[in-house]
This record gives sequence, structure tokens and C-alpha cells, in this order.
Amino acid sequence: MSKRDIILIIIFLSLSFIVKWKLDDFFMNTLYTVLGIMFSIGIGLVVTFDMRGLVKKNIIQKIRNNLNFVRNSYIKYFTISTIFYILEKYFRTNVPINLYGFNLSVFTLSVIIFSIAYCIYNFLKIQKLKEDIFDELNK
Amino acid sequence: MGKPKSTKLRAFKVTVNNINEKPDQIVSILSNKLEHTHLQDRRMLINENDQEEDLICDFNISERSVFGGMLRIRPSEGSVKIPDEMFKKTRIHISNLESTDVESSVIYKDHYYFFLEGEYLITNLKSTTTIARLQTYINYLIEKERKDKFFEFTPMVKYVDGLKVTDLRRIKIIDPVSVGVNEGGNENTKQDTNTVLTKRFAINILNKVISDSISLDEVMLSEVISAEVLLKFRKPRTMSKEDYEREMGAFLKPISDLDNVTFYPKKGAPIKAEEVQVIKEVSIDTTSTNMISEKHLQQEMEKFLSEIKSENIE
Repeated sequence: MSKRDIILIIIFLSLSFIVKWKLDDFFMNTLYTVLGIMFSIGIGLVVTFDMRGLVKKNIIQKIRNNLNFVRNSYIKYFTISTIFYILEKYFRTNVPINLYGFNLSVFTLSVIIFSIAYCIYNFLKIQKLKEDIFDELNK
Repeated sequence: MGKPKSTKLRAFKVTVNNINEKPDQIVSILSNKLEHTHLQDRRMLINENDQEEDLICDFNISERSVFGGMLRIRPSEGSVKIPDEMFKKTRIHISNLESTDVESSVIYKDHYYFFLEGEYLITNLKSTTTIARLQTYINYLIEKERKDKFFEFTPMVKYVDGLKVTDLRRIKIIDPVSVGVNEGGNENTKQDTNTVLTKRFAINILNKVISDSISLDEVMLSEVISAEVLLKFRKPRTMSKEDYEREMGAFLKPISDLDNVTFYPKKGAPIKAEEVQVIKEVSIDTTSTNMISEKHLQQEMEKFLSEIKSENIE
């Protein structure tokens, strides 16, 4: 678990104790669907990244390592978002959501929104990297 | 008469590793050696693989000084050839080295001049080459005569206000290529509006919080080797001028690219390393064949040395 993840957990936990929103099922379902789409786009871009034309082994290795790290992060955040989405659905229907002041819906919402932002921002950066490499090779 | 040529003169202090010996002995030892040897005896092989050699090809000895021309030669084709019979002589003028059809085993590569007087050395060796080249050659040439003494040439430095070695905050040594890559990615002009600054700030936050993907600039930057080195000097705060010059000279000696070294004192603006070295740019007359006037160069070197002594830079 990275430093960033620890800080995010603290922030999300704080939000879930402070914010008392009641989030409806439709809203959560929509957000999760959006996450699914962004995750698919992002991971597709990572696994189909073509490094043809690059010859320097250390550059290839550097980019490959970075892409693998981003791919693993995509899977991590999507998995965590899915787990909390399922938990939130379960607790919504079977158990009261507010547990000692802890708002599971808000926590889940924070995780999903962060994951969506992470997917979008990183796949845009990967797209840019792809274009920059293409421009550089065709100078 | 050709167009005058500009050349930079660099000043060095001669030191010897033996506390009982005076460094100015180098002049007499070297003079004696030069007068009693032929060019062939003065050749020093630098590397067996490419067979390049150094030698003092020409010299002018006076009572207290030696002015010499250093030649680098190699066995290859093309360019100026040096006839083999010339090496039987005591000296050869650089202006006599002309492209010929003579069969020769060596060719001229480049040359520079030096002027030794007392414990000072002035040379027009280009600043991208460290003085180690001349130091190695001279110590090699007079190896038998110097016995266990070893002569060193240390760059002379100016005492710049605010640049006491103990007051240095840091010294930055950086490759210029990495500066270019950095500048390309992070432009910061005074004309930036608040909107642009806010946008840049937001992007920086986003990059720190949610960005894990590498950019091409970061990939290329990581390929460049650059270092920021913080050097600590062992002298106490009350460093004497002599100690300062010795420390600073010793630091600058092995660095061949002074453009990329910057000193950051605790107070005041950063100071580039080339501002600290004792260097003088002079204009030397040339012949109609564009060869510099050696006599003029020697006189400029003598003048530079007398300026150094009179300004009490040491």
C-alpha cells in the first residue's frame, strides 16, 4: 500500500464520518457503470500499447515497467471499488448503512470517483505518451 | 599578415609534493632536458591502441622561463604529415609542419603552447581539456631528473567576494542536455496569467495525486546523467585566502567543462566556475598562412603573468 493510498483512506474515512448524504441506488449504479467503462478503456490502452520503433532497451524497459505498474493500479482500484460497491449494496438492503456514524455510501462514492478520475487521467497520459513516441520516431 | 586570432590564456600554480623542494626547479630541470634531447626522445605514447603521442616540438629558453609548443601526433593518413627525419632534430617549428607528399609514419593532430616561469604556468590549452595532459607529459619527460618529486599544476583562482568555500550553500554540476529537457517541460514566463498559473497548479496537484503514467519527457530525462553534488570542505569557518585558493583550485582542476559548474553561496547571486578561474582572452597576430605569431603569444603570456603577480591574485 503506497503513501498515496494511506492518505486517500484517511481522507475518505474522514469524509464518510462528516458527510451525511443519502445516496440512491440509481446514482451508485450509474457511477459504477461509468467506472467499468473507464476501466475497460484504460486497461485496453495499456495492454495494446505498441512500442514498435523504439530500439533503446532501457527506454523500452522503463516504459514497460511503468505500463505494468499502471495496469496493476487499474486492477487494484477497480477491484476495491467493486468490493465496496457490493458491500454498500448488501448493507443498503440488509443492514442500516450508518455504522457508528460511518457512512459506507459516502466512502464507496469517494472510492469510485477517485478510481474514475485515476482511470481517465492515466489513460489520457498514456495516449499522449503514445503520440509523443510516434512524433519522436517520425521526426 | 592575417586576421588576429583570439585565444584564452589559463594560469596555473606549480606545486611539488616535497615540502623541502621549491617548485620553481621545474624550469631548470625542464630547460636542461630540452636542450640535451632530440624530438624523438621527447615523444610520449598516450595510448597503445590509437598510438597518439605528445611531445614538446619547439621551445625558447631564457634565464628564468621556458616557452614551449606541445604537439599531439598520431600514426594515420591524411592531414599534415611530419617527415621522419625531422625527429632527429632538437626542435621543429609548428609553422614548418605543412601538408606534404613525404612518406611519413606520423601526422600532426593539434598543438598548444605553454609558458613556465618560476612557480607559474600559463597555457593556451583549450579549456575543455584539463591540465592533466600537460602535467602528465612534463612529469614523464623529466622523470629521471625529478627523481621522487612530482610537479602538479593547479588552476589559479580569483578571490570572489561572497565565495568563501566554507560559505558555499551548494555546488551544482549539471549536464546542459538535462537543462534543455527540463526547460521544455516547465516554462515559466512573467507573462503568465492567473488562469494559466491556476491551471498549472491544478495539473501539478493532479500529477502528484493521481498520475502514475510516465511522460516522454520523463523517459528522456532519465536517460541523461546529471548530478547535483553537495561538497563539504573540511576547513573551519576562518579559512585563509591561501587555503581557499588551494581548495578551490583543487576542485576545479579535474573538471573539463566549467560551463556546467555553478557555485551557490549562502548570500548573493550564483557564481559560474569560469568566473572564478584566472583566465585572460588575448588577440594574437597571425601570419599570412593563418599561423599565430609565437613570439607575440609568448609576450602576451609574460604580460599576463606579470599582471597576475602585480595584482597579487595569489
